[in-house]
Amino acid sequence: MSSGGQSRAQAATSLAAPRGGTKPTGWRPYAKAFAIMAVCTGVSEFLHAPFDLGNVVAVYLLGVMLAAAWLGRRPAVFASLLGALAVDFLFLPPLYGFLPEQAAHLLTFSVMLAVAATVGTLAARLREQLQKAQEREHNTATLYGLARDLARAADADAVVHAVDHHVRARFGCRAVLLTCTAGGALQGVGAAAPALDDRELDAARAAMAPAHDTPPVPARGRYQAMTTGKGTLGVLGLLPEAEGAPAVEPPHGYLEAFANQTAIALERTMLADAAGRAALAVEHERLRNTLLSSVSHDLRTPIASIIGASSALLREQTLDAHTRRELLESIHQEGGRLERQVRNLLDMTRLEAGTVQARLDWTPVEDVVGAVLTRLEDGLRDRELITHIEAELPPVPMDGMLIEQVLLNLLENALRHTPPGTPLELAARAVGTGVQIEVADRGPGLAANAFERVFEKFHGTARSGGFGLGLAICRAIASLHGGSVVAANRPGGGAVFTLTLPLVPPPSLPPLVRTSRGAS
Amino acid sequence: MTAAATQPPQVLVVEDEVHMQRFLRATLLANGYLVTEATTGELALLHATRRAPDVVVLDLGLPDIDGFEVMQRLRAFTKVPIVVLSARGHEADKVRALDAGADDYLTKPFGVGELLARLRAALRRAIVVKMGGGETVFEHGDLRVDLGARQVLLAGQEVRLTPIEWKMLTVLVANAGRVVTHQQLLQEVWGPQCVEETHYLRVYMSQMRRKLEPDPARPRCLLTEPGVGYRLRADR
Repeated sequence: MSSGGQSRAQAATSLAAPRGGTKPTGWRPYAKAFAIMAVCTGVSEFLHAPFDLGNVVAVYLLGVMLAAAWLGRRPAVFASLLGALAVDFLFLPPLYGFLPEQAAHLLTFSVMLAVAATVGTLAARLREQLQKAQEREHNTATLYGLARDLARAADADAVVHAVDHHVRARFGCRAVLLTCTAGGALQGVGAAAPALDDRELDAARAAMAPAHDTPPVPARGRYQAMTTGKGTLGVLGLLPEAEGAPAVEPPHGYLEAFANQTAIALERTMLADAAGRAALAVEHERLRNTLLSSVSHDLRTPIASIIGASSALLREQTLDAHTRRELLESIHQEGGRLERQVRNLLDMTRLEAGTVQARLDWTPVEDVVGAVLTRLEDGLRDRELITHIEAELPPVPMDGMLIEQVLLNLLENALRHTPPGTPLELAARAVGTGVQIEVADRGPGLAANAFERVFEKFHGTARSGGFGLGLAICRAIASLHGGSVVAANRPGGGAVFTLTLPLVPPPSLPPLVRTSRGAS
Repeated sequence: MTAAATQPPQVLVVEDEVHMQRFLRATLLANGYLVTEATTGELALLHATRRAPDVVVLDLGLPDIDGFEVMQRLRAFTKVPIVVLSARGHEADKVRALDAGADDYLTKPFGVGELLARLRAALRRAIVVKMGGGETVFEHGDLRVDLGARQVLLAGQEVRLTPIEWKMLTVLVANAGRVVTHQQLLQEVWGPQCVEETHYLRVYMSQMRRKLEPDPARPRCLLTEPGVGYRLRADR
């Protein structure tokens, strides 16, 4: 089935014709009938001298038959009337006068009339059947096309789209799908479902009620219940595109087939949705279990170290000074690890709850970098850190506290995953409409499939000894700023994490308000 | 004040958590402070009137009275320096406490070094306020700021500052070792109508760091206190 305006127009005209109507309408067929009779008259005039009246009548009879077969019953009757008058007027005595003298002439007229009626009716029936056959074929093709498109539809939106496409092509109006909600209300399916007023909704509800139960409600749209083996799923509505256009009247049973095809597809996508939701629930459950197991593991490990080391210090009186110091150091370090993990867990929870909002403020990158490096002073003591912040880097709109958290997590991540003594680099530069801050290391780098995975929650529990939340937090904060954070490997070895923040021109600075005496 | 010079300073520790209390007591006693302890706000007010401590360490989360209220009631009768204890992520509380009259804050968890540095700074400032005037020369590492001579030297070389930078620096030097909130700095430098415009500060601070810090991205003196303000580091 072809789509587009041509077929739509075709469909529209075939629907505009009265049902089963095969007769062309208007004055044209009568003019054609007149023309046929005129030709017959001409031929008869030519034949009249050598032939008798019987031949003349035969010529007119042929004309009437042609008119009946070609133009339909009424023009044929009109033709037979014309024929009878012409024969009377031109070929019977008194010539050029309407006074038939013999009953035979009346018979001639009756025969012509009977032939006209019979042939006309037969021809009309034939044409009607042909047209019906064509329409049936057209309908079947449409249904087939619909079934094919519906089979491909992966979700409710695609179902709506397919139905709308075919309804437009076949009926020249838009389709609307409504499903019953749990509360019994009707709800539009798909993102682009039009809003229906109360009258339309009443009509739709009436279509869903069992037949003979409710009288049809007058409305703009034509509604058909969509039923599957399990019952009524909702309503398919055909809405005329233009305001005030009459409701379309598709052939009986056809709209039902259309609606039921749709119902099956819709039910399938709904089941698929339900299955998807179930899979999501399973995934949630899995994530929750991972969370619980990593929480219990990652929190208990440092707690166990702290309790173990401190109890050793309390009980063992014979420990030498070196061992005592080692135990104390591990208590201190494990305490720090515990703090980091609890902080990440709380941060992630707050970010996911959506309660964190970025309070953007013009902040020089140096300011944030400086704050992070001050906070990480102890951790960075044994590491070479090369900082390179581009001179003339403009201030960037950001929430300093949050971006500090990102850089802290990136640096802590680099410290944890690279061998002691390897250098770290922190660089900031302007690129196009943004500022990039890079944290790079010379560690083992990332596996090829890990560039995205490292940003997932709980990705690296076993390896890193943390929740694997640090980078997920970085990404969440970056997107709060309309920016991004990505991972890559460096040429020459090591990994690089790049935070990109969008840049807009900074506001100008005001002059000094209070009078102030300056330095030399 | 002659007694203060000879007697060790007395610290009132207001903390209800027994382990924090133990850690604070041990650290302070080991570093030559006298310690008075209070586990509730009411006790804190009582001890503050009776013992006249030199400095108060106040946890904002107390079982009986809100920490802010304790501070307000303390401020009604004493100018004793108050260092508040607060958790990370509660920056608004810190600013509120500083605005309500706290001298400084410590973010939990903190170590011994930070605690002692805050107390020293708070005590030093209290003495400066009491005596009036105070030191006019600030020195840290290569940096030497002489308020009287209006001179800034970095490794013996004079550094030229703009009027705004100089004004910011004098505010920080006057509060050396203490946190100065964005609002305090803005008010001191630009006047009361600009206290919301923290980005001015950020821009001028980064300019000043370029002049005074060997590596502006790793400041040694001009420290950022995230979400709160700035601090001029006075000792290590």
